[in-house]
Amino acid sequence: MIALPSNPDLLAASAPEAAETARDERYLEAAALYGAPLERMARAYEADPSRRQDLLQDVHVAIWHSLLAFDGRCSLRTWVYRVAHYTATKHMLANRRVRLHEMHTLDDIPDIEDDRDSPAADLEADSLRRLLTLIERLKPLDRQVILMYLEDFSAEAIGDVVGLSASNIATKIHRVKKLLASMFHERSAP
Amino acid sequence: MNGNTVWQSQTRESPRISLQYVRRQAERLNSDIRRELRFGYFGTVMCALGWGFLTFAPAPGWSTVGVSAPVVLVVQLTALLSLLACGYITLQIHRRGKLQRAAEHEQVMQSLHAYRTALERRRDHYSSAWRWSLWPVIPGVVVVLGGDWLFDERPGKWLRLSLAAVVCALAFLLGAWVSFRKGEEYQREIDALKSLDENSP
Repeated sequence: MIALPSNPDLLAASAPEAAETARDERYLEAAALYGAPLERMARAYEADPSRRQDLLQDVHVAIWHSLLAFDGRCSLRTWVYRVAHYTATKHMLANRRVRLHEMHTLDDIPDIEDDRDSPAADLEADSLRRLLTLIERLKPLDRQVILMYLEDFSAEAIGDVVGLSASNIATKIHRVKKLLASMFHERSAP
Repeated sequence: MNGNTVWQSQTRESPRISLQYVRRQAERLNSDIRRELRFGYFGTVMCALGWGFLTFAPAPGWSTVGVSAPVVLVVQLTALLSLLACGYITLQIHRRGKLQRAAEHEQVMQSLHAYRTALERRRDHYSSAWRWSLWPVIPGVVVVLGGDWLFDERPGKWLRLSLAAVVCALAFLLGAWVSFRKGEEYQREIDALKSLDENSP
């Protein structure tokens, strides 16, 4: 059965056109709310600009497709991120240059020291470059965790998306904070 | 400055993706099946025209090219069998493509493994293609070769028959190989998705 949207108005009109319209509306809402984070996510999964554009398009298509089955049992944000990360990971694995066994988990990735020569250097661009370098070395699951942490997701929200318990995610976030602290000379949160 | 600030302050560089564009891209997914269907419709129409011409063409036409009655029958029967084979294959592509689309419509992302399921259906479609698309052609080939064997009195018959048999066998093998390769491509993508699960805790 096609899962119809939970909106009562649309449930009354059970015609497929109503479900299609609801999907379009949800997609437009998702694109407006999460368009920018999705673009940042694509940057973390694909370094090549033209392939990145393809990936972003694939993500949007996958989200649009999936929203026909969106039934409101999780938030729109959780749904969008699940689909987006799944699509991005699929894209990454389809790239034959990518070697999963050469990637790290958050536990075994070496600390990245702050190698900036001068604090007056182009801080933002340099920081972003090093952040992307760190993310590109991570395995898919940990990549999802760090990307959502960087988007200010809570441990519970990340857990909802990746399917792990909040405590498990909290452990990973602790490691993420430590890694970021070593990169940015921050004081790691307790 | 912290990691979150750096990350979220990135400037957007991609153009906005419109709903119309997304719809158009989504349609691409079934382009393989649509192409095969178009090819199948074209083949069926051509076979129907050929069969109609060979069956209903004025009888004196055959005698002017010196073709005997049994050979005419073989040619007509071959055309009919080709038409049936083409129609059957087109029907199969249509039915299987429709099933795939229906299943996707129902299952689309009910779980995040729906994509893998869709890939598996496409892989099965191509892996089994030789079974449902090659055997319908065999009766027509058998009639052609049998008719040639029975009624062709020209010299070099065995050489021609052998060559025809080899060409048919190669065509079958090529068709099966192309389908098999497509199935393998889908299997590679499925393996890539499986490796994602294996690397999850």
